[in-house]
Amino acid sequence: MKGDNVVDFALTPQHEALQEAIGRICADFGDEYWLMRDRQGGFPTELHQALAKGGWLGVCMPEDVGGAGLGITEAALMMQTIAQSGAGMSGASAIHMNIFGLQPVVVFGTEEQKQRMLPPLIEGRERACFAVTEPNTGLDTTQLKTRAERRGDRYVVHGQKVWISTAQVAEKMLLLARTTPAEQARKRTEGLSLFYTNFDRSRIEVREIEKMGRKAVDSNQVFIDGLEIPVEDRIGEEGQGFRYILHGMNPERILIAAEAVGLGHLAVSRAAAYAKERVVFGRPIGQNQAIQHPLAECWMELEAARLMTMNAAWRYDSGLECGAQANAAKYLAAEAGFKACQQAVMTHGGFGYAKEYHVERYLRESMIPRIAPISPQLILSFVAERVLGLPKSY
Amino acid sequence: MAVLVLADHKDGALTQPTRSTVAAARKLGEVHVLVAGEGAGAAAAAAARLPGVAKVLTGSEAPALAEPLAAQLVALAPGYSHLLAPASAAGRNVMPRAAALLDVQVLSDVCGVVDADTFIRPIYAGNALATVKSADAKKVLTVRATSFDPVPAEGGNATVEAAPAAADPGLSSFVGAEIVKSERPELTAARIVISGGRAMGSAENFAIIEKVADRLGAAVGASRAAVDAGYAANDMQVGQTGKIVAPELYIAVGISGAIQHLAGMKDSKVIVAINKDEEAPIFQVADYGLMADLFKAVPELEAELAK
Amino acid sequence: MKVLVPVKRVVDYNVKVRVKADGSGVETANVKMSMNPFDEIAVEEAVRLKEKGVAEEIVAVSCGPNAAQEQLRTALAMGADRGILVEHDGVLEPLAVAKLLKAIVGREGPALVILGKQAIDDDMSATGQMLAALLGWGQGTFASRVEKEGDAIRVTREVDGGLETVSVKLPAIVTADLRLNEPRYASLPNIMKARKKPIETVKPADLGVDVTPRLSVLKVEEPAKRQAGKKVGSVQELVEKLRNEAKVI
Repeated sequence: MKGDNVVDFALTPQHEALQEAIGRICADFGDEYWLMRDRQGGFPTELHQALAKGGWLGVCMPEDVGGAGLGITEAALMMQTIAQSGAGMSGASAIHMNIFGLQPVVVFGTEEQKQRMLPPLIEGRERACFAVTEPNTGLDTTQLKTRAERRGDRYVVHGQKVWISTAQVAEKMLLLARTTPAEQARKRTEGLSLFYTNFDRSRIEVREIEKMGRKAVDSNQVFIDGLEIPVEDRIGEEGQGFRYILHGMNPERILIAAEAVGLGHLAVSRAAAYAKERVVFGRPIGQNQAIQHPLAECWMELEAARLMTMNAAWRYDSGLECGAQANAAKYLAAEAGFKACQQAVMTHGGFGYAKEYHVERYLRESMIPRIAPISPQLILSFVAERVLGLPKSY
Repeated sequence: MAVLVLADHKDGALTQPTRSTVAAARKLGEVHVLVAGEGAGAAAAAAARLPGVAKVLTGSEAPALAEPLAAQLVALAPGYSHLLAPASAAGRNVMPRAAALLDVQVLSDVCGVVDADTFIRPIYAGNALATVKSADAKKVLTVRATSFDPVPAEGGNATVEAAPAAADPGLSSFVGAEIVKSERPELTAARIVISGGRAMGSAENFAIIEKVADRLGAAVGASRAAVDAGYAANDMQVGQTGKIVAPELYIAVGISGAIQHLAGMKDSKVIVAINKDEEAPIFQVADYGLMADLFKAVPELEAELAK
Repeated sequence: MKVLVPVKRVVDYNVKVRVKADGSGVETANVKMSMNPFDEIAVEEAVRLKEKGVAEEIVAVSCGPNAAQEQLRTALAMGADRGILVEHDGVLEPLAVAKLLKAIVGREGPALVILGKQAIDDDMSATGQMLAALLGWGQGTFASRVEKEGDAIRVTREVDGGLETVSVKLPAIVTADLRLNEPRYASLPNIMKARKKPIETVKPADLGVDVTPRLSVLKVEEPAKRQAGKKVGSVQELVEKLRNEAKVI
């Protein structure tokens, strides 16, 4: 090996062991399982439970609460492996929130809160949903309207949330709500508080949103009317919730990037397999450059996105600033994933449009990492402003 | 120097793989046969009638256990250049043990004899054939029966004598056996085999295959997928991890044709595949392929054979 | 009691092996390697014996290249307590492996050694029986069920035509068949713990064992390919062909 060998792109034996083990669990959930879930809906409880049983939901949780104490690098490898196994976003989204969403509790929660909140999540006894986005604020998170009013030893919450995944099945909710009216807050980023609390369905109405893909993992409108939250369920200081939630933003971008890479590679490998077997005009269609080249291009773009994703994960785990890389990874991976899924459908021709060839499902799911948790345009604006030093445009 | 074959036998009769092993042994020298275990007396008489066998030795009539049998082989070994047995469960149990006692590297599953030192054997589930030369003074091998045409059951007239007794090391004891009694021929010796795969859907559905087997006097086999799914017993498994068969006619019903399975039957003379999936790899090795729903085609086959 | 489980690094069972063009062997460069599947069953059985309180310690051993540490880590992640790598880069035949294992048994003093019934690369199905012979121990090969009974082990064996049960005095050798159990998936906490479990490395020379191969491979070739035959349109046509063309019924 030449030089100082400080850059090493190889997976460690532990990373390989991790991929292998996850791959084996996912192998029990074949194409037919995901096709059925996509048709009928219904949370993929079996996969969630199998992963919980193997301790995988605690991949990046601290060891003292029963987690494995690994980093976002490992979590990203895991999410890519799940998506790439054939589970796609239906599988990835089923656990996505549970493995990193409670980072604010890990970092800012009290010892009592950590011991109370994290083990049930890791063991798969509870599932959490992430209630931040509101219908009238979109990505302008500091302007959230949902109110949490302090009354003695509890808060009473009124408001609406939207695009809340898994709210149909979740037992718990990580909620960002306003505790100080915006006009009274000292700073734009203050006045919001973070809670992790029971999803009390007697005070919360959940309406599922019919959507393009990923039917297995529900997305919802959530109406909160008089939900009572004990003070001990508030994470950290009152008014600092926005700052806490920011902590999970970069890891989330990294994980969704990894999922998009997994989905894209899944689509490319299916398309390549089909192109090898499908014989038209006396030869496999994959012998034609018009078929091969776009797939080769997709593969290259996915690998480039994967490297950016791993770069961002490595920076995060090394304690380095990673905003630009995490955003870039999410952008590149989402676009590459989408293009790969689209190409996979086109490679299959008419059969690509048939559900039983699976690639149309991937294409529908590939829109998710493009749109969520942040639009590609905002990422471009972020990079323009923060990396290139251009004037803020919005 | 002569070569010694350890016989497999059942109910006083030699198995067909034993006759194939004798055929392989004849390429190496004068053949002696050792018969031991329950019913050894009657089987020894049958061994004496095999053409090309010069001498038959009888061992203990106690149930054959690996440890005393290996000791017996080692005691006899000085008189022989090669020790052979069929690559059956019994042969594969005892021969490596005897080889180690003789400080010899065993050669398992030999499918070709090049010369006295050089043999061909399958590796990687039959995806490759290795020609290997042994540097050991004495050779210990198990023989893939389907690769050698068995010698006829009759035609020889060998002498029968008791093998000198070897001490039983007393390391294990026989508790019992559950051998499936069947009117059908043994899988590895049957002239016709009909096997079912996972597409059979249940153990009960194997009945439709059994009816055809009874019409044809065939043995019934299964793919590993069918065994894993619990539709068929493990000893019915045809494939690399099960039995290797090479009948005159092999009928694969609802078997996709995984490499694992092909390794166990691709030396069959004529292969028929019945499968509704046009893409099933089994069609690539089949002499006659019928694309059809097995639940319709198999009863039809039985009816047609009855005509 | 202590249980020793030898594990082998082999080409993954999902890989379609290719014979090298020069006939010297099969292509193993850049091919996915895994623990021999039958060895996984052996590890699982040892772990189950430990969970039942029958086994106290499980030692996994691999004889092979340095990279075989990965397979030892897999065994440790499944529940083995520590590993021993007998490091050797060249060919190791079953007899040589049995001699190495005998030396390890001499140092470790296990009451039971559980091996896979065969490795899926050389398909020899010999190491367990050879180790039993060298140690002068009894053997229960091709096991589909294993139970400890006092100072013996009762082994149900897969034999031609059914099952056979033998009682083998301890210490003993067992080789695992397919139906013995279904190996577990390594859990994340156990993969993490496996990282901290010790793996000791020794060389054949340290054990005083000569591992010179007895067999020389003259050539490796692909078996003759079967040609696909014809499609028939009906059961009637099939039976007619089998009767009059192939003449097999």
